[in-house]
Amino acid sequence: MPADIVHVDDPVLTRVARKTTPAAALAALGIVYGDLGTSPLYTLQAVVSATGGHFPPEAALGSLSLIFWALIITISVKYCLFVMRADNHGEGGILALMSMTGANWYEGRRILIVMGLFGAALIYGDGIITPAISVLSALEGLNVATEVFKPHVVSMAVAILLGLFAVQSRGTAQIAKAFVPVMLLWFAIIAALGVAGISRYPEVIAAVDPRYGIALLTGHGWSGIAVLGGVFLAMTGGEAMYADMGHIGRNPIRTSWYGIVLPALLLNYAGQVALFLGDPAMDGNPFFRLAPSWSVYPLVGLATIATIIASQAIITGSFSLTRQAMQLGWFPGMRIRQTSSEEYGQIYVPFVNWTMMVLTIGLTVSFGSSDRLAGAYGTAVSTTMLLTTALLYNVMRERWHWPAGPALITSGLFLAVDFAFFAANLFKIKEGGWIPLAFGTLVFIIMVSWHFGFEAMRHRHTVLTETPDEFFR
Amino acid sequence: MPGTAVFLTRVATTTPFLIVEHVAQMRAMYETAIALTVKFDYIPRVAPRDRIELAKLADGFWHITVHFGFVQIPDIPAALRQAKDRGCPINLEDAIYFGARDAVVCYKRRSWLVHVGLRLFTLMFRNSVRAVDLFKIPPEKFVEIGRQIEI
Repeated sequence: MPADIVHVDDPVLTRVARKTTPAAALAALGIVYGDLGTSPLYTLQAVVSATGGHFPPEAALGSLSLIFWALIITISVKYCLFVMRADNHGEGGILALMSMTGANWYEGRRILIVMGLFGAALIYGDGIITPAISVLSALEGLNVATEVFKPHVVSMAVAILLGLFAVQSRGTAQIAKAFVPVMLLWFAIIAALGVAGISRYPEVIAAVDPRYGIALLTGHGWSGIAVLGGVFLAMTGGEAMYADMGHIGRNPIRTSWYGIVLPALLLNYAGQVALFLGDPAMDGNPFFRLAPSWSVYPLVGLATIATIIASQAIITGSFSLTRQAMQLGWFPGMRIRQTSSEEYGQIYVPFVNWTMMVLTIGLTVSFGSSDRLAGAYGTAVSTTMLLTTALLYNVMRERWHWPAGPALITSGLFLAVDFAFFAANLFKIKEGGWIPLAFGTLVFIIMVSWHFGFEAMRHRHTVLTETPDEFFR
Repeated sequence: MPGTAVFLTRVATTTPFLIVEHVAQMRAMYETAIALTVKFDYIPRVAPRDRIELAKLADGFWHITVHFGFVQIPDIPAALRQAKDRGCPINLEDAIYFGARDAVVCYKRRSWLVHVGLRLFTLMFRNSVRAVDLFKIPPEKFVEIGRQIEI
């Protein structure tokens, strides 16, 4: 954590103490944007396989148009402008949003509590896939250069993930300092690769026109919807932006998104799509096809490090989500170790660490490639995003005192987009999409049983307790 | 008995079961007995000035509620130091902490769903960590008293 993000132990001060300094905005790169920033490694590949491998120019431009508008509407407008306004004393994340609605289990509106908890539980669901799919997709870049490594990609990914989970107990605050320059280099390079692709087929810019996207969605029946399931992979990191708001600050996250991450991502996706305009039958990972052949090995190296950073962010995020749920009384007490004297982000929860490790590595081995994992990825987070919009509507009405009209129109627009992605993701259930949903549901059952079991016990304690007057008489 | 005893309890404002039992067994009370409840508020951080609520219930018997936000790392000895500054006669050096190690048993219920949920709870409760690991209480000063709770 950079020195200028001072921790002030006062809820009011914490909010105003965060200024958008260049250092704070850059710090966001190392923590918040790992997932969103490494999505270009597998998103377009998943979109191409959703269309069945045929990627004629109208499908290519349509997909790019959908990615562009999804990043604008959902990430840049819904999350950056609206959801991030909903801060619970500076803190973000769906649990903070849930407590902002003021809903209370014993005073009605239980549905809001259920939505918040289920949304939080589902974050664990996709959290076990993110490290697997990112690291695999980075290593698969090797296959573009040579066939030699093909049988070893999975074992290399397993080795990297094992190493990553094994070092968690030592704390990662020291290594994390190196994340910012690496991610800065990463965004510079993916932007440059994108520009190189666009310069070969500048007509790709036309995809800014939303009609290409709409034509792709409406013209091809169900397969148009399936494309959305692939497009969604570009946005899976969106919920993390909001969850990390507490320790980075709202404005630094916004500044780095509009100034660095969004332009780099858009350029890169456009560059990848441009390649398909030249060769609709191109196979292999389009991300690595953008790079000149001499640079594939260093690029795989950089991509691997970037995906490790993305995985680290997911692991740290799961630790702090667990701590929050635990302290709010929705999760069993678990051993937590502080790995540094800072407030949070530097905690280690062994049980969560080992559970995630076993599941992530299990998924890596059983799916075997990022392309197959893409079929399972996104079902959980797309549900969480839908629930976030529903909770946001309540915050708009009750905390911000918006009239019904504007609140309905704004959240209705977001809900329409969220619902389209949610529906598209339901098509993935058979391909493995049930896994994150089932895991999230299991976490939800644990949360609910813990809470009500504890309440039953507390009730029993009250019965067994005397009042002090009787006792001291 | 001289010294300070801190009883960790989940029930605020009344005399914890633990103290009643303890006094019944020992037939003596500590010079200072503190019933301490940790409460996590629905906000991320609680400012230090709002950390503790101190109430004197009787001579030598205090109730302290310690508030933390849901992203804060709880530190009980630090909170007690604050209570001492505010006039609660705590001897931090030789304070002994008492906590309950409840063995939860679950009896048969009519509703199948409730029963399964409570069984899952008892399983998780048996395996969850103790207060000493969560609240920065010095482990050598921590005494656990076992008892059985039926839910």
